[in-house]
Amino acid sequence: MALQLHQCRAVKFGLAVVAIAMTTGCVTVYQPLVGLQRPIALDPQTPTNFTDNTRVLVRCHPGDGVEADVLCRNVRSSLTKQGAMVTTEVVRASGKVAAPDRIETPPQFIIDINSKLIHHEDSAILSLLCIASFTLIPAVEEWTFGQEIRIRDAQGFLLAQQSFQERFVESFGLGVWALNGIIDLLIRPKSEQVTGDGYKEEFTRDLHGHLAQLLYNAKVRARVMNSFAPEPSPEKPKGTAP
Amino acid sequence: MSRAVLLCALSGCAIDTLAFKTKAERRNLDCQRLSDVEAAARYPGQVPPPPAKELAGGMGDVLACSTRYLQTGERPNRDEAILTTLSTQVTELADSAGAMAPQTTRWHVDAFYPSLPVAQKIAVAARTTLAQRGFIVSDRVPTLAAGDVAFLVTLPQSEVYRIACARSFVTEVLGPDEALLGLMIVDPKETQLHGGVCLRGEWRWLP
Repeated sequence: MALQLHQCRAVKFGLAVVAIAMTTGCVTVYQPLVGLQRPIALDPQTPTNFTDNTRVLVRCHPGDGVEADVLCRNVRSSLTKQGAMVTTEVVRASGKVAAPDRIETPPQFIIDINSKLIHHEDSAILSLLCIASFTLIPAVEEWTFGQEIRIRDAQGFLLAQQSFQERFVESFGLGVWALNGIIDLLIRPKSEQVTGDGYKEEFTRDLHGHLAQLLYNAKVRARVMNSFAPEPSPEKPKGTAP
Repeated sequence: MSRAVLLCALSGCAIDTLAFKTKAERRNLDCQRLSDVEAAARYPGQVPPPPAKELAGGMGDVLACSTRYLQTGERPNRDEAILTTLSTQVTELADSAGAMAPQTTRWHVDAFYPSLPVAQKIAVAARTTLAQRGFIVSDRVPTLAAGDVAFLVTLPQSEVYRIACARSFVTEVLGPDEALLGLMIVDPKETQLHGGVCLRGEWRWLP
């Protein structure tokens, strides 16, 4: 009877440990490394940044650890909200363009986004310690991504280019998650909280803001290069009804 | 001691100090990834030299960060964006300008920017770059007569630089062996500099 009770307690304890490990979360910290921490002069929330018939083709190139189609979709959404007419192309690794949007008028600006994974670090020793300690000691994984953005006009003239780099450090474990959760709850203001998806929002805000600024700069450069000549009306593609 | 180690392990402090920095502190760091070899050469004493096998293969890398002198938010956004890239932007424009005139040309530089201290920094950077390239550079800023300036301010931006340049040549403010490099922004929401050269009465925008 006493043995049965002991076994039952051991099973309960084991289940509790597994349950705690299952509910353990991640704490991800985002750090802008190159370019993204620089301020911008444009407000990307303004819906009139690109209202004067700005036609843009966003071309997303494949890269390790990067979902090019998601990136293209998000960039289109961001620029469309600012008044631009955006079409997207996702370039596959083979060089083929996957399901391009239907283009009714030729774009004035072509944005090429090349993203790549620059660095990835995952400590095997920490992972083992994490498992051995029931995630009390955190496992840490780190990624550094880079984006190379080039904006050209319809003739292929390079109007603007910029490189960005950012780093994400993810800590996995009950200890780090619980401690940061408590600090988030009691001490940190909402803008500084590290548990949850705040890092994604912060990175997206940075990248989309800089992309909008770069497009705006490219637009002004195009005007200057044309000696402030008025923009010609868009040509209709051949074979379409007038 | 054991409590401190446990707390450290719990909070992840032994692994990355990044978790203890606020967002503002993280944004005030300028970082770049360097190879072990390059990092050891740049920061001797702080980064140990890599083992011989890494010297041959170049395996590891180091994230080198430094805190910025002026923190984010201390200057207006546009000024900050222009000034953090000033060297790159001015070098490109000065190199393009230098290729448009003979080596014997005397260069004048003027910057048109809403903030006077920033305009002065832009002009000094351009003068220094031109001088480093071996050009003759003047400290004098060519100035048109008050009547000309009063007329020029009424013109649209597309015309003002072209007409000012032609007028400078006609009134001999700029001689035939002199050129003006103008650096400016043309839109309040942009963060890039444009450049133009006035040579023998003709204004040309730089690519």
